[in-house]
Amino acid sequence: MEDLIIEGTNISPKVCFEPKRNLLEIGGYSRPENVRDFFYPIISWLEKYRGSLAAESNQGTSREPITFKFKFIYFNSSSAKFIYDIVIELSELQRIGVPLKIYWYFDEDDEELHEAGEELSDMAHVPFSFVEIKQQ
Amino acid sequence: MDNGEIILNHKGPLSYEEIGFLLNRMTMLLDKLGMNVTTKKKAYSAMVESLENIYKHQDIIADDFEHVPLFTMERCDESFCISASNSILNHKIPALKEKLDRVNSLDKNGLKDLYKSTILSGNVSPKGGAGLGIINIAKVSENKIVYSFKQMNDTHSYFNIKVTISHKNTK
Repeated sequence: MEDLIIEGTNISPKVCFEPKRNLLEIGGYSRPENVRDFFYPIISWLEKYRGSLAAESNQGTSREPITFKFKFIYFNSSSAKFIYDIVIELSELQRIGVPLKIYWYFDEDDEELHEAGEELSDMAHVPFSFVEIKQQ
Repeated sequence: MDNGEIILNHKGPLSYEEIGFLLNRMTMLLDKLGMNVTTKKKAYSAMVESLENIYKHQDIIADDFEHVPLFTMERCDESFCISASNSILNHKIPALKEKLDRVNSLDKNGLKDLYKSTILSGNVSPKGGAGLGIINIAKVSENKIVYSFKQMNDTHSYFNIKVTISHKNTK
């Protein structure tokens, strides 16, 4: 499975999915003009990743746990539905037995973002570990 | 709204680049005023949703210079007031009014539940058209969303919303 790397901008998130390192990260600002065009390739990549992991699992290969990190600073309402779709994809990975740890980062003063993570975790029935970023 | 000072305004059709420009201006201004992260994030969120709402739904009428998209941010003693106006098609009013009345009738937990059920329903268009933007605005605003529709002609009205973000005790 190839890496998926997308540079972040002040309107679209940075994506760094590196399956060989078992590390997937998405973060930054998310208010892309064409939200569907931005998120579809990401969700499609995750679907293919699930397929490859399911094939591995069928061969009885044991694997290292995967780490997924959400490091958003801000996302708008149009992005929220697609971020939920990503969380659903992660819940599918857990469902097929892939060991997965999900981290949700938020600024210590940003209760809105903390709550947004709690809501997503709750809606998809997927546990998140919350990481509070302290101000310098 | 008490007597405030307009710190940001935009009049006329809105491009996506201009939304970024206005957001940067707001962030710089609130930094200068010494506002904390909570206030800045709330103002940012309310501004994005208000401006994107104008951007996506600006049904501009040719030769009508009175009812152009309009955005202002006003600084008052204890709050920032965001006002956003754009023309909309009359037939869209009942559904929009229903969404606004619904969010205005809910408390914080009610808004959370509505936000969750809206995402779970799957009825969200790429524009966030199920009303997630309005729910987001209501979540960050300290007061109810004040809105009005002023009929312009048989097909169009001028829509305005006012959103208050408190900065009292948050400096």
